[in-house]
Amino acid sequence: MAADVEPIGLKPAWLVVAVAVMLSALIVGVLIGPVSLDLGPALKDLAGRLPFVEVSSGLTEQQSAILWELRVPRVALAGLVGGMLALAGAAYQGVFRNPLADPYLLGVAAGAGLGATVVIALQPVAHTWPVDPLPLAAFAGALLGVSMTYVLGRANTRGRTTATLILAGVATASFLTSIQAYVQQREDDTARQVYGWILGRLTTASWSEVALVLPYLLVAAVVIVLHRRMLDMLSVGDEEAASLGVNTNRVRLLIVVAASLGTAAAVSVSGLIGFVGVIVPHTVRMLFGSSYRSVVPLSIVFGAAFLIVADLVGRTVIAPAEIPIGVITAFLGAPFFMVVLRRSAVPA
Amino acid sequence: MRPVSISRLSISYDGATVVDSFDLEVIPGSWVTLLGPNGAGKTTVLRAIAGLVPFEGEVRIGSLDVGEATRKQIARTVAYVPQRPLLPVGTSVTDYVLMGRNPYIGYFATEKASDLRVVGGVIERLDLMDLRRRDVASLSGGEAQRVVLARALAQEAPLLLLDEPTSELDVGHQQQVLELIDQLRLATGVTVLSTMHDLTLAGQYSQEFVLIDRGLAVARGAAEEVLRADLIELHYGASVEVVANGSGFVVIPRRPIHEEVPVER
Repeated sequence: MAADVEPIGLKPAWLVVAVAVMLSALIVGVLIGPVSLDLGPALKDLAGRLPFVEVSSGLTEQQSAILWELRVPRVALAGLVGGMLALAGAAYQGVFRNPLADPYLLGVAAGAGLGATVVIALQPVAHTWPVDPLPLAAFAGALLGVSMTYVLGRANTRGRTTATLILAGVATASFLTSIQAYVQQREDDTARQVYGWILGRLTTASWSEVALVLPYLLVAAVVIVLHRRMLDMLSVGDEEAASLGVNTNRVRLLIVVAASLGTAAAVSVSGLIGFVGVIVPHTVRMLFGSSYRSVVPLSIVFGAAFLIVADLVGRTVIAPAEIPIGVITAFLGAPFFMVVLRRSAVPA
Repeated sequence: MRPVSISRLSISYDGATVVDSFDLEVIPGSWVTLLGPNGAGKTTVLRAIAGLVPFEGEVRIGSLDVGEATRKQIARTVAYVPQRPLLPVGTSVTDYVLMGRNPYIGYFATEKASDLRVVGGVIERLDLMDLRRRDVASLSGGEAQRVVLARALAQEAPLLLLDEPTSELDVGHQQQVLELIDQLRLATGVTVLSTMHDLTLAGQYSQEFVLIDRGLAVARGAAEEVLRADLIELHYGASVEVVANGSGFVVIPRRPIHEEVPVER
């Protein structure tokens, strides 16, 4: 008679807690701002937007517009970007078996920064475009960054290790950042705007941006969630994972492509918001254990909650001015990064 | 029962030949040990059999052609225990052993009740019940080796490859682990192919030996044909004495004889 054993998977209760935390963040994020809204009327107003529902919310037309055109899309975008960055961080940490890996590791951020800078620097021309070219250029730049990292990291095919890929990412990032700095210096009347983008912002969030990123984020999230068991398999290293029947190169490629695609989409609308990919997955690990079967789904939910709250702090602390959200995440993230570094430096 | 049959196995890294035209036939259910000095190519042979390095020649395990098979097919047939397994921090013993079921689980799927039954059975058999919730990174050397063996057994593969299974253990744990492997071999009929540095320990457990030096098989057969002082001197450059002790052979290192230098008083 075999013993009863159970794997440490995701407990439904944990997911319930996570979703409750995220919903609270969402509600608070929607209600708080220069114009305070009350929960009841706001919920009624949102319900009234559903088809076949006729309710009177009691909100003025202006309040209703603030709710639906400003607050909700902004909170939604913060949630989507936060969930994606946290998920991508967890995924990169898994495939590279490096606790400090982050969505910005593979030249994604530097590429997006270059794309955005080019558009901002050429603003007079760009103004005639029918759609805002900034997110598109940032997205293209992010994909360019990731592709360059791959090509560089792949050059030395036989000796290619995760370290080679990370070094390629560092080289790519330095190269793209230097071009970005050059463009920025040449057009220094737009430098302030470029700087604002690099610090990360959600100030211009609208439904069109939510619609722009949503498909990419969904694809990325589905692919990574489906690979959560594979991320656990990779934790024993490539050779052992291979001996257990895992095609490690294919798994790694799929996960990295999905995470990079999602990051590129997120960065293209939000600018550079660092450290979410380090803070959230590590907090999840400390609270719920390090199996990716929990870390992956919980990182999405807590990442969303985290960025909604960070954005709320950013837009209320020195209101009516805003602190760029990237500044807030970096302020929290840098000390956190050091804690993780110290913990992971302890020999296993 | 599946015999292991290796013919003309050659492996080279960057143009340097590491294993040269190696042949091996293993009788199902036996325990064969590869011996040889550091860098002889023992580990490389094991890695080739597990399909982890590209090779020339043919490796067959029953009907499975390792050169042609998929990763999962190989993992259902060969369980490989590396010399220094990576024990990921934060992974429970149960989750770690469960990894051995990967070759039976669909790519996007999770384990079924039958997989948990196998894991439970292995955990019980290797006396890991009390450790099943422990973090694998916190285990002692002997416990860790048992847990890694459990993962290999969960693969339910007919061939078990062990690379230096006792190199990190003290003498008591060395003996326990090797006894355990031998009991499992006798109980389940699994075929064991190991590498070992400790010639005496190897001589107590294995039925057949292959001595490898610089990628070539230079001697093979039973203990008395391979564990010979002249061969050990030739290939290891060691001066030893070999003594039979009832359960096997004991290899005793002997200091080389130097001219005695008279000390002035």
